[in-house]
Amino acid sequence: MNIKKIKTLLVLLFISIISNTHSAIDTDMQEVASLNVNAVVAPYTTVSVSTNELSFSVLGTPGAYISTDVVTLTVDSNQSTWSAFAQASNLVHNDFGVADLPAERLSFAINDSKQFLPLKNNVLFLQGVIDQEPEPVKLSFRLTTTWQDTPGIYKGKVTIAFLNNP
Amino acid sequence: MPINFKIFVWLLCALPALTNASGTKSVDMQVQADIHASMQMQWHRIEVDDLHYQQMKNKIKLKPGWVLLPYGLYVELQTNDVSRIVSLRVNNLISTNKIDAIATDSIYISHNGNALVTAKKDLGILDPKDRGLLKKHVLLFVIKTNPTQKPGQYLANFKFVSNTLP
Repeated sequence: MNIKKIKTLLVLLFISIISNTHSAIDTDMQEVASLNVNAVVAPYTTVSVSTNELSFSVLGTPGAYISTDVVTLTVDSNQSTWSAFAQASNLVHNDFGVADLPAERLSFAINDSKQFLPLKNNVLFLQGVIDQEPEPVKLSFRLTTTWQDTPGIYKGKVTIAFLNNP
Repeated sequence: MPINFKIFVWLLCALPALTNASGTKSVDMQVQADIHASMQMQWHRIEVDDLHYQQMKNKIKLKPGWVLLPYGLYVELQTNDVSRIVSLRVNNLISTNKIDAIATDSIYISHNGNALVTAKKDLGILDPKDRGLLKKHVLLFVIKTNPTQKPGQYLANFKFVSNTLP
């Protein structure tokens, strides 16, 4: 239940109280009953992603490869302001002793942007305010490989973190 | 009920909501990258007037009766494969009448201006230790002439052999 609905409910309740009070005034002006109202609006942030798995298949010569997995991110929050950050971990090879792929090899672009931002450190990429309607954001990811990278399977993760201000 | 106790109970109930309001939330996406072995190679014939030919020719010391062929090969190759080896294999020179031949035991290779090596064995131009490096090779060919060889035009036959170590 969002804050607009709660506000509407409170207004209706208040009108009801006023009406009852008016009725009382019209007759005997006596207090028959009183109603205490408490409304607790819990803070929330809901996040949905279309997929939590990203895969890259580097079949050819080293270079920049864009994943076919496009992540649709939707954020809904009743916080006054909120921010979304992205960060990647190093990609670790399945075999022990093989050098990792550094996190900065991963980058991402927002919606149809051609500019890919490296994911080395926490990257602020989205901000919202309380009255803002939630709009999905599409995230595309790119991996850059070199001739020095040993063939094989590497695994890691990308974390999307949210910071809220109540 | 004492007011202090009421305040305590209220705080106890509100504390989780307050924490959620001022805290962070995150979503993890698992990343997997599958990098395949890859190699790129290009080569072309070089003639007498080629800069690479001239540079390597000046390093070769020919004995009497040894003839430097007026052409050679320039090769560039690179791989990310940890077990890849590439060699040059030279076959007998065959005359244009397809009758006469100059055997490989009379053919020698100058590899990047280094001392001549016999063409009877495959010449290694890429080793596992070269992984990730861009290797460049200038290959010139020398014939050790002898009276049994028939005069005429001969065609050189060679191939690049690529193997992987077990």
